[in-house]
Amino acid sequence: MNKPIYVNGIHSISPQASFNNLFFDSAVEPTPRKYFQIIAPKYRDYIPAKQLRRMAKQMKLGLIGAQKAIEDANSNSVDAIIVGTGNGNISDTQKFLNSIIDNKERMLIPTSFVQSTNNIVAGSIALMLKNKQYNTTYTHHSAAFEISLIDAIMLFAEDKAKTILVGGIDEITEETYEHKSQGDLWTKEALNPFAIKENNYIQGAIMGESSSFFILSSQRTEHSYAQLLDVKVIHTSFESLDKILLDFLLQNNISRSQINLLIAGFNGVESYDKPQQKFLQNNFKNTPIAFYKHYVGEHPSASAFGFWMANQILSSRKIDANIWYTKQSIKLNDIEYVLLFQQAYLSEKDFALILLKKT
Amino acid sequence: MVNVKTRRMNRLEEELKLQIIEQLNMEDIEPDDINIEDPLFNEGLGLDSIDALELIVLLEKEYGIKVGDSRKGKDILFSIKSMADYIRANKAA
Amino acid sequence: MRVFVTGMGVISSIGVNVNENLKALQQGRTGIKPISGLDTIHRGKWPAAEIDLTNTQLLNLIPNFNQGTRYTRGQLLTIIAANEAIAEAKLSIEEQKDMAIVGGNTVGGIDITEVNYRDYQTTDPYYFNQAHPGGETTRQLADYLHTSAFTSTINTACSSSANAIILGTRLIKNGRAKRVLVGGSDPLTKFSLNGFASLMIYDEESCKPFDARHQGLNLGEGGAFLVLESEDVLGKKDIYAEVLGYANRNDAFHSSASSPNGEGAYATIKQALKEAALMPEQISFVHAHGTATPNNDTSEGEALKRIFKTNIPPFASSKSYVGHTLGAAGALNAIYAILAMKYSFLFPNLNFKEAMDEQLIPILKVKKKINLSYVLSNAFGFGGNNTSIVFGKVNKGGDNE
Repeated sequence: MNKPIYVNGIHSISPQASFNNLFFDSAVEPTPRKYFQIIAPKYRDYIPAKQLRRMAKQMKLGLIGAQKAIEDANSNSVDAIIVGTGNGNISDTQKFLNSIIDNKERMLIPTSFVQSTNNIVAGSIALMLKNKQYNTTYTHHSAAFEISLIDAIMLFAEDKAKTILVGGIDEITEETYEHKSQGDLWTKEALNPFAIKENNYIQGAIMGESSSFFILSSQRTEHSYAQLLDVKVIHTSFESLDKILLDFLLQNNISRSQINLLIAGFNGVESYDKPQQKFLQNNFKNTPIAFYKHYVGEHPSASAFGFWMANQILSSRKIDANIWYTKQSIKLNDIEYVLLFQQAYLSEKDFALILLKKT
Repeated sequence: MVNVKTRRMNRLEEELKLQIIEQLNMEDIEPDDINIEDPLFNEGLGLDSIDALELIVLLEKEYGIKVGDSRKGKDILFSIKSMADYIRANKAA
Repeated sequence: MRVFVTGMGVISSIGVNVNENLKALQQGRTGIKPISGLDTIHRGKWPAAEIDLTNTQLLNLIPNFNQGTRYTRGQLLTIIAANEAIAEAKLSIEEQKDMAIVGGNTVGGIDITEVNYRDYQTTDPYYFNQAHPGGETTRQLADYLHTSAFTSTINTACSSSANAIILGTRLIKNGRAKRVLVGGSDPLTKFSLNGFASLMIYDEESCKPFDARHQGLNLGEGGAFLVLESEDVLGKKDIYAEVLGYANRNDAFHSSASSPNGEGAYATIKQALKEAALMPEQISFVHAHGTATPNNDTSEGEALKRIFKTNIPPFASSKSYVGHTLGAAGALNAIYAILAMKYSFLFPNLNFKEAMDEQLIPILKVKKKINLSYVLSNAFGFGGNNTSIVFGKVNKGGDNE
């Protein structure tokens, strides 16, 4: 059994008006799009101009996210910084690659190379906070954020931390969209993300980006959003998943019928959504399912936004009406246990489960 | 009557200021904010080691001057004036 | 819960398996020479530690490769090293099945995408979609091994695979796994080569770790993996070493440079020793990170002086043999440190002529029949990421020597 862990601070910079931690600040616009982009904050309000000048987008988002999550939790310090990113720092990697080609390997400027390292976000946060503690970055597809949570759970169990900053961040650029959409996985036309519903599919996923940060703590406060019970990450086949799910719930002394709400990573692509739907329906007959990729698009750290959403729901705050995938829904007050489930979009065999409880 | 040589000397300093502001993305800084004798690093503009490397590339790209040793670079890049002096001393005629 | 190393696998410029690497270390033989494989303007001039095998030749070293025709060089290096580690650990198919995997790499599949960057429209979409980011390298390994278990990828730059060893150890100690395959890989790419060159820390001659004439690093490529097992599934297996202590600390000084007084390295080594419940004087050998950049050597050197005072144990960096292998470096350092302990020898820190600091003289000649009980392995990366791991010798009875 894990020690009790509480989510005391949350923050998400996303394509929706989530910045002030409201779900949401303004009504969602179901505009057709090829891909989602975040609503950028006023960077200068949070980062001194001197530092801002050469900062990569991911760094800026990470620094602000960390500040806001820490502020939200009213934390004095953090004992560890763990970040998950499936695609890493795309814009600087592209910048450097392009400059190598354009300049034929001569007279290259190092800034974008230095910032392209995937752990630049975790490293910059440590610099900003002058934090010399445990610091790491996971890059395993869409499980990167969940693995960050598992690492945090272990640190608490090892008595090595009382407060941990965990984040999930992935960005998009026009160039990335251009490169990746050559295949069949992504939509080539603008689509309405709100067309995605149970049994209603779209012909290619809509890419996106988001940056979500959280403060986990061993101390419950009256502002705690939820209790993080456990996380499972596994590389396996769908056939093995039923048993894995049961074992996971059993280890946490929970039965399937106790799960009040499922949150899934459906992105509207039939070949991706259907097997997941089948798996959830087989195991949870009438449990309502909410989803989130229609808000933020498909990207590895979208599940971190899903986690933000789950915490909003469990703290019974105002929630957006469009969260429901299935026709069934449930009153916020009746939700005690939430299970998030997701499968990596580009890898059929990587899955993750997050179990949260109302606190 | 303005001394032609003086004019040319100042122009290089002014050119450098603009190039540095652009290269290093210093949106809030105007050329008049920079004093040509002030240190560029740590104090003054507060540049760091990555900026130094960018300036070394700038010297090569704009003025054809190669600074092979990053340690030598420290003296050359001390201020706008030291950069300009070095360029004048080393640029091909 | 004690954690043991029961298998190791390596492929680098000095050998395609552990035995070849061992021989090269014992003979003081470097794998660094002018670049010949990578298509770069620096080919034939700049030194690097390339593995002189094409991707097709690497493929031939992998039995039953079932991933079709799509793969990256990093994936191949990963599978080769992992296969050897698993064979050494004598894992059964059953034991392999629920083995967790933690891999590390820094460039993912950039070796392919950088060459096809402007031709993305005619390149198999697999490369720009799946293969480009780092997680795919580990996923391919898990797929190849048919595992059904926790799988993760770490990217903390040059300390990635050291963090993989640390995570694997913790997974076992926390009861989340009984055995974990840990390590990392990276191929040589134009991206990394030009990256370090633009920072003016690439030595255009062979690198000289801890030498006053040091100008920077040489890159290398490789794959390095270890099998970690918990004491209760060990059975009668041969043990290479025990993982006694480890630490991960952030320097919080600069994104691409270490603090001159070695603060991060000092804190990390100190913590690792504390975890291992060892005094500094008990360490018989230090495998330094030793990249041969003035910044690292000074910083790491200061840390060694601060921890060990006037009794710095014999130390060496293998980067003058195999270059800086980035994603593989952390695991490679660990494996070489364990080999030194297992085979009772010390390998020299090549290319050393002039001390940068009178107190920091590394191992200069091969020394055999040296009993090493405890060894320390360091790996430090960009983003201020510092790691140190302490390994101990274990006899068949499971006791530390």
